[in-house]
Amino acid sequence: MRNPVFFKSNGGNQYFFETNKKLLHYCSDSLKEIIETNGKEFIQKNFNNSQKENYDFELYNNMKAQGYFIQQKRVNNDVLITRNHILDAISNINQLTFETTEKCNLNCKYCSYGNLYNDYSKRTNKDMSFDSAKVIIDYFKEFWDNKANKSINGLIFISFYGGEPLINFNFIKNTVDYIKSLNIKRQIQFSITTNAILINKYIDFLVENNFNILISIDGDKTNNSYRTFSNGKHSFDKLRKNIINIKEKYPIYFEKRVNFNSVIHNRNSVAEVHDYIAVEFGKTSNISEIRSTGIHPEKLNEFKRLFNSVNKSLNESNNKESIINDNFIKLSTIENLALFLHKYGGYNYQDYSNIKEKTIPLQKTPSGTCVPFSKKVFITVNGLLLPCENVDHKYHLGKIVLGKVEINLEEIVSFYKRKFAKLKNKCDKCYLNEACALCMYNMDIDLDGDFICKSSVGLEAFKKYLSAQISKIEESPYLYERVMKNVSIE
Amino acid sequence: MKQILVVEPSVHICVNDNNEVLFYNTYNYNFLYYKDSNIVKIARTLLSENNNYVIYLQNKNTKIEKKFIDELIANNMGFVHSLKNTMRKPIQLYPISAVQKSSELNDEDYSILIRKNILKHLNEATVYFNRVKSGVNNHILHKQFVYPILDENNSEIELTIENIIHFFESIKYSSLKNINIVGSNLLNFNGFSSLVSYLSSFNANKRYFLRLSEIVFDNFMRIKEINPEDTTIVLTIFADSELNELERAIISLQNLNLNFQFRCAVASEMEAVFFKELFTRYKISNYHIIPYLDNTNFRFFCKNVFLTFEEVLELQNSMINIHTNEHINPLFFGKICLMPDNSVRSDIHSENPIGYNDDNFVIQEALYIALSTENSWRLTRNKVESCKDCVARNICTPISNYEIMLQKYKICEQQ
Repeated sequence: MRNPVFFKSNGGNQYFFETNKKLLHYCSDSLKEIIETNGKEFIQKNFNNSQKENYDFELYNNMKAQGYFIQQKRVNNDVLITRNHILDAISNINQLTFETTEKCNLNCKYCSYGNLYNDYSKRTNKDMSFDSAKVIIDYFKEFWDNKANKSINGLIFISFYGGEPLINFNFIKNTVDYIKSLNIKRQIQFSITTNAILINKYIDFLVENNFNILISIDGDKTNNSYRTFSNGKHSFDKLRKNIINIKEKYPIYFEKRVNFNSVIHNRNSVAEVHDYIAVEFGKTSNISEIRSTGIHPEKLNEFKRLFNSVNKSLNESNNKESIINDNFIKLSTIENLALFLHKYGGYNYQDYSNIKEKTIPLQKTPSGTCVPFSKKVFITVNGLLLPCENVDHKYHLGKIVLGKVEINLEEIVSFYKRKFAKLKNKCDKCYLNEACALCMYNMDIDLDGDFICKSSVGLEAFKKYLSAQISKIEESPYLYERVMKNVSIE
Repeated sequence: MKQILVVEPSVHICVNDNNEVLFYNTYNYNFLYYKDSNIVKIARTLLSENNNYVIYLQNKNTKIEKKFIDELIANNMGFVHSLKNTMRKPIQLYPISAVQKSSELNDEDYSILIRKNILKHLNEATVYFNRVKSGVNNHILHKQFVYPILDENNSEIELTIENIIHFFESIKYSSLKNINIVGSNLLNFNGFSSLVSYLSSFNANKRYFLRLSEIVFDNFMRIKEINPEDTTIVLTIFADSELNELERAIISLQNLNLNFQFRCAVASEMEAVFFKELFTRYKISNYHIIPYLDNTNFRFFCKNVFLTFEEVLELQNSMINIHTNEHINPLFFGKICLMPDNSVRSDIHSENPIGYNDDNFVIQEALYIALSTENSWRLTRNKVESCKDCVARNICTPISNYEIMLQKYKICEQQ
């Protein structure tokens, strides 16, 4: 692995990135020459050296004395998952997401469970039973009350996902009532992701139980026109009426607990979504893209027609600066910059313990895949336990069998070991390893059924990546301080 | 062509409202200190969020500014570059310390964030297993360094081995790296063998604190019960020991296959010289000298414990050190004490316990109190009135036991 890596920004400036110590540095031509020749070029010139060259030579020597520019084989801190990692994650789990129902009252064009994709388990319009939820809650409650739980009165998220979860409202009500009856020594936060078509009927219950509500809306009527009922009719008018009703009936709750998610496609833009949500509801929306993995080969052209990149759309906006300011941490462009700065900026600390440890590098698993159960567990209508809602059901980590949760730790360890073993080779050579956000479950699969990373980054691609990130800051210098101080990455 | 001043990301800049500014280079440890409003203005411009350590230079620079720039260059802290008109102004990713789960967040967010995985913050536990009566001069030693609690007023008390085991059972899922056992006459403690045996199952460094005077013929062999692999015996020695006894004891201990660290507590220059000569004679290098305050030696104590402002500026700090000093007190953070009265405290000085080691003790709750209330864990110079405006506050040494004991924090004014 090259060290350092020199690159140029779009603004025409030269920088280097020191790969061992993770330092980005503005770099003059003379400094580059000194680094590239290990100072020999400077020594040869000797008496003819300019003040700048003398300065750069001293800087180079100072940095060398501090351990910079050492050419060594990259130390890969990737760790494999052990039984203890999983036990630890289960003991400290803080989000249960229930696939409340497979049913949906809309038929959105770009739905991850629609005909654009071929990588999901077949939908059978099944509802989740309360009995299954009870088994899951009883199982995890033991861990929340256990000494091995490393948190204190931590926040536990109980989330309802679909299909459209409000179609199975009885399940939601029974589950909420049951959790409340258990007197769990944790703060419980309920949340729901909904298309809000049925929300008027149930809003009193959701408000009473302080639900976080995430409503899907893609902008105004035209922008939202891919979100239709199964008969093809637009859902927008009903949706808008329902949102306005919540806003009028529960204004404080609306301000605090109701949020929006908007998918960018060829019938809207970041600017249109931003302006509509701001004017109509006085809020900002999370902005996301249509899923670009698992596309049905026959639908590739249709996908290409629908797809619109958030970055591209944002760059085309006339009011880009104000959109960035308003939506700061909700934009993927800021998220990418934050990931870059947190991994390569050099001075980001997770918490006070991290700052005290100083030299211990952050350990991660190969690729950007998380330790199973470390973020959440997603429970399907069929009682399967998945690492999250974006994972194919065939990769379940456990299941409910005869009223009990079965999780085979050895099987999980062995599965991840096999999958990581293949990925690790690529990760070892990838310049972007530390900042990888790619989950293996979103990768393509080879003939052996193993995940294959097609995004391994070589030197030239890494230079482009560094250049793109630094160029963003050159263009809007305030982004550096704001991201460092305001955006956190788990 | 435009002229730009580019400061190196290795430079820590600190300004205050008294027109003072410090530029400190973490690569060569050079520093520039100014008390000048013009330089402070430049420093503030360099630090502004739209500049990121890079500013355009005007041709009308004053003599003072020109001199400043020359000094920056001479100390390898920054350089003047020419920039083509077509190019954007470059940036430096200057050293912002971003602690994601920081108390600078609003109370609600901080409270939620620190609750998660709170056990990771516990790294060191010190058990003071007894409190014994003592004379006037000794009663403040444990406030100065790790030492048995000797008390002239309160009654004598002692923890039971059950108390101690209960405490360690409560914290065993934490990230414990160091265990200290401190008390008077440890070798005669009733539960000594059980304690040594119990602690051997802990994957942590153990340190047993003894005083040389406590090791006598009757208990000498008990030391051998200690497993030398992950345990150090810290032996505190005072210069008032009988020289012959001292020499004989050191030789005997040296012959044991155990890890010893000799800690020489000194109240004067003469005592320090005495120990240096003694250990040189026996070719022993694993010793260190700790000054302590008694009722007679304030001048010696200040000279050897505190630093002048100039000495502070000469300290060699990395950028991570500076960031650590900005946010936490590394001498105290992550450490708790079990006291002889069975209370659990964030440090030896604190009056309010963070918990009691009884059946209701939950270590997570105790750590939450330690992290969310004002105590030594986050006692930085930014937080004390006498230091918070000083431009050297983040390169200075962390607030120490001595300062907390004396309630005097401006170490540069103590001499």
